[in-house]
Amino acid sequence: MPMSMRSSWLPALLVGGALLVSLTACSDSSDVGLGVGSGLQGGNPSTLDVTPDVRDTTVAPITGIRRDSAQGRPPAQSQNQNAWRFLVGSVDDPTPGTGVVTANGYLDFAGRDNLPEDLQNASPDALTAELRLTTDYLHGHSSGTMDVEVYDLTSEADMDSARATASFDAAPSPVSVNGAQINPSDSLVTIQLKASWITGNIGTLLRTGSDFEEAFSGFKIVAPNSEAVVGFSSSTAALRLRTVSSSNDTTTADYPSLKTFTHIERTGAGDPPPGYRLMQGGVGKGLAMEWAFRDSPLDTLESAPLNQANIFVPNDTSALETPSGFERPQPQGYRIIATRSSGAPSCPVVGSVTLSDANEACVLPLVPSAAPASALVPDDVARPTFRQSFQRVRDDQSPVFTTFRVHIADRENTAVNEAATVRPGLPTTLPVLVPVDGTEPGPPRATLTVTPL
Amino acid sequence: MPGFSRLLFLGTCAAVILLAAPSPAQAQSNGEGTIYSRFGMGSLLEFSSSQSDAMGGGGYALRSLNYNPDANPALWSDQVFTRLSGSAAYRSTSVEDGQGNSGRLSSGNVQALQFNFPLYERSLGVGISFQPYSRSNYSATRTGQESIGPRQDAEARYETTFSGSGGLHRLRGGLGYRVNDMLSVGATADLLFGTLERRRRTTWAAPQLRNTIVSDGVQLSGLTSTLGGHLALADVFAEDDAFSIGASVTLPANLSGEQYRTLDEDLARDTLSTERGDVTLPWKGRLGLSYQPNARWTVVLDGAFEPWSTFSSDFSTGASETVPSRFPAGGPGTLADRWRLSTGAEVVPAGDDQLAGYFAQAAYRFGGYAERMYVRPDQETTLYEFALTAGISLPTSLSGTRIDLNTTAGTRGTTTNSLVRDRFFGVSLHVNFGERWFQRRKLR
Repeated sequence: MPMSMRSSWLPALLVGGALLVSLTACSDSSDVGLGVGSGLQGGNPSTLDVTPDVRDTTVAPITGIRRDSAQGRPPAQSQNQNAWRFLVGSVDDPTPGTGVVTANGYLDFAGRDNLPEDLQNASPDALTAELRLTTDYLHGHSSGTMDVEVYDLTSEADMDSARATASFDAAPSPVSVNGAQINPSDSLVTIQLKASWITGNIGTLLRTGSDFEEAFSGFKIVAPNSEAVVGFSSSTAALRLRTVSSSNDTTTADYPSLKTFTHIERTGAGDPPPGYRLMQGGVGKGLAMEWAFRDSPLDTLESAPLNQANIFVPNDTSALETPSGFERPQPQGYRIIATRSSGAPSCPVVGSVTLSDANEACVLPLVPSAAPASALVPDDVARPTFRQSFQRVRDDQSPVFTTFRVHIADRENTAVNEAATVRPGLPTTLPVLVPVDGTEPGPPRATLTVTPL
Repeated sequence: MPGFSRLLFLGTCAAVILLAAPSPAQAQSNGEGTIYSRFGMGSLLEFSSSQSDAMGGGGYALRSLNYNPDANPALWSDQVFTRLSGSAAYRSTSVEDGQGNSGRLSSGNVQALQFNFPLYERSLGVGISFQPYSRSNYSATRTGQESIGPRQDAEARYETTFSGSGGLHRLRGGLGYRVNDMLSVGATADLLFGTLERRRRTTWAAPQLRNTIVSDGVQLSGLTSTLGGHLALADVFAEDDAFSIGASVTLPANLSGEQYRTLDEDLARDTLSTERGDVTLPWKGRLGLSYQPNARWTVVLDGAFEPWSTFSSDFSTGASETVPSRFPAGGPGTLADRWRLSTGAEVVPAGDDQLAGYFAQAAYRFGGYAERMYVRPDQETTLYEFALTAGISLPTSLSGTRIDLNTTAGTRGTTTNSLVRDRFFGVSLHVNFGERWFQRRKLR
């Protein structure tokens, strides 16, 4: 064979061999052969609901905020400052078990950088002062007006991140004009302050910046005998100082809000309707859920591959009685805080967010759009939680989380991202009834889709 | 041009080895594609030499200067060349059941790597080979729907795919010794090792649901030995004819290993349980006849027997969810004694004429075999495999080097009793390099 032929078959040979070897297995796999011999069985997924042990829990929510951005400073905390609110009023919700909830608002203002000359030069008698509040929440009877009273705080109040059970001392006499009223259905309400308050505080009012903030402690706002709780926007609340010149020119200066807080208390609480547990915003009443991993059916799933998992806490909105003229918005979110077992993986390992290392507390992100109908822990959090728990229980350890605490955490709306659901909710007084049995919407549960081994 | 020839030979050898290096991972990923490979140790792979491969797969008594058949080490005694052989194959299998449903699976794989050289020319030879012993490769899929989510108001479609992969490999080394002009003997030490894995993969159409892979595998290794003999007779039925009888016996092999069940795959594999155990593979006997009436024709007739009914395993039987499922699938009751009969012929039109045309010097081979399979999935129905083989062997300018192209087509199984019938077709490419090494050149 000539050399040229030899050199021509070699490449062909190598290419041919490589082609044969490189032909990877491919198939149009079908169901043919499934029944051969003992048959190819298993692998059929199934979905099951696992209900936890549920009990009541009460944790007073954070209702205070310091609006650091009021003076252009960076936010000190990641709360939803623009949507934050403070509440004033009292509501006797017809939902059994809710009792009478009373909310007192606290409000402090930031100093201005400067004051218009007309205001600086005006005599106190020529000045008027009013609180200008934007309403963004109403729970209760919407008809009629509400009496409101404003009191001076006697000392600087640490409202920042204060919980709803806290309160701050106020002067015994109101500084708002006698008979001050607001209409809860108005989008903007004003509360006139007494002329004597202006006279007594003119020195403070003429100060600017931090000098004002050090001298002014803030207000407490109450609504005695009201039939509704009204929420006011923290970001737009303002103290307005006004003067009218001899030529009828009006000069105003607004002191922006610096801090707000809501004290909430409940009286006369009873039992919720049969078949339900009550969650109630503001008073911090929620549910504590515990899954028994060593009991059926979870004990049979220790090694089962988990395809999907969700934690679901339904809100049976149909169970809430709503009389005519009674306003009760639905909460726009929930918050679930889970307590880690000793030695369990850190919060991020199972897709949650560390709330407190000392308290072994993790916040579970939720599906925002599931509210208000339910608090729904998505698969990317619930599945690693349950999978890790199964593994730990298999190794004779505790599950990742011992307790899941669910509370109402109202949001501005449900169009927020998942990460925002770990933040504290807005102050609210809303109730939610959670079924403890039944089929639709059913009790709180974990829904697991598993493929049995 | 001996320098160029040597260079060409070495370069090509290196290229073929690189291409065909049968790393376990590569070899395990491919296979024949039959659901019957789910049972026993998988499909048993028979490969002795590319010559015998085209002549029905036997050739236990087939002497040749151009090949070193692996099935009978006694044939390694008759060597002149140092020889390196590599084989790659492609096979397509279509399967149908009694309801007329069908599927297809095709794959490419390395058939064997063989290296042989004479210690003493035509007297004492050494052989080393590495090739698959068995292979598991099947795939079948079932589909379904499941209600998902807290309200279970959404239907998600899923597929459950059952598949098998892996197999045992055999590393063989041995000697063949020619006692006299008539009798040769040989012996090998065989290391069997490998992993057989059965997988069940549940995949969802909805991306938010996590797929699941459960794998039951067994890693085995053990030693055995093969003893062979060859009797060469001349002028038996006619003048200048050659008649040979070859036989070999592979001793029972005790394989030890570990059985495991895992969840997920690759780095995320979670081992649910492991268990150590042993299996005993049966002995295997081979007997072959070869007859060469003249330089043109060679005819072979071969038979093999393996009493797989004596197979034993002390692995557990999958008592709980985390314990691996039974190995072998269905238990030893699904195994039956195996026999195989094959026959074939080779014709070289040119005979000994070195001056004949190129294609007259090529060897044309054909054959066939019938096999009673060693697996009986329903423990009742005996399964058979039938196939026809053919091939062409092309000479090259390198003395002792040939390029072979083989093909096979056949059927196995039956569509009765919920079983399936496979129809397979394959082609394979074999490169047999041979050159004189380690031998002193004569001074001229």
